[in-house]
Amino acid sequence: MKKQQQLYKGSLNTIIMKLLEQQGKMYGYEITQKVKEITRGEMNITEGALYPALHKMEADGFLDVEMDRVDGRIRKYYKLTESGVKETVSRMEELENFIRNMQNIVTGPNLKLEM
Amino acid sequence: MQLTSNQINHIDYVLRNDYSFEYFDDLRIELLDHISTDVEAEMKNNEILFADALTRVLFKWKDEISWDRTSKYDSVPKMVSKLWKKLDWKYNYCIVPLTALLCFGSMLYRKEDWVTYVMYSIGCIGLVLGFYLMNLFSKNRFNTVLSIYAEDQIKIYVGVLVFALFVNLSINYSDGDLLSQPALFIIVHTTFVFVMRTFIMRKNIKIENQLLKVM
Repeated sequence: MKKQQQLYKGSLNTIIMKLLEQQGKMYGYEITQKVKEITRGEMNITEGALYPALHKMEADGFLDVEMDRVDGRIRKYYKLTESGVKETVSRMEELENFIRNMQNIVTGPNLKLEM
Repeated sequence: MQLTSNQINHIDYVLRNDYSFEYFDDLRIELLDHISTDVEAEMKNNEILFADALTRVLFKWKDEISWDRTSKYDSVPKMVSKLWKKLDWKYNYCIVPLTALLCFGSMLYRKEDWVTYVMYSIGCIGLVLGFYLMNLFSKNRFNTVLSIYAEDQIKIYVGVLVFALFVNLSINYSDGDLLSQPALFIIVHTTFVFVMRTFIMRKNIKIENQLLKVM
């Protein structure tokens, strides 16, 4: 499980952006729970990884913020900016290529890896 | 299970006083919501009391919200120092080669008077931006991670720029030669610092507007 977490780590920003593309806007806690739900608990985004990633993407102009008052406290929602949407498309293409190549390497007839 | 306003205020108090989030309004608000939601879930799922749930949640967060003693920014929570270090690369360190390049370029044309006027114009732009930033900070209604980063040593920078311009002007005036520019590097570098910090403050305006909407 730990090794799998390492594999996910490199794609954290892409995962967050893809989720925001699908859901429109999300807050930090919601992102961690959604990822846990989709991966059936296999991927656990720690707060220590999530917020630096969100804040960096916000500073880079890929994310916009919106605040609302919910249950007596203020909730900060993140959503993609226009450049964020473009960046998501290009990152998803990169990720799909990567997955395809890995699949070819692992299952290819000439490069069958012994497990 | 929804937290009462007293319980939310207690978490806010802990964040302000035990973990130095007093001066980061935007981040404190965000963490307050996340921790509160997490505490509610712990109380519901494990059927425990508020105090126990809060201890569990804060334990999860401990590394991120404690001070980062090994960092250059050692008196702020780790999650702040992480972001500031990333901003350093984007807004601070990149200025040095840019300044060096411009100063070196100006050396190639140093025999021509127009270079001096261009340099003074850059200095004036820097001065205007410096005072603009100081004005922005004096009117600031919220302290955010970005605004505190951009405000760091701003008065010293403005002072240094004024002094550098004064030194250059005095030398040019006293020897009647426009070509000597001893404080050129300082003038250009400080101006670039102000340009970058103006960019940061432009981003901060959005966050401030959102905070104004809800507070």
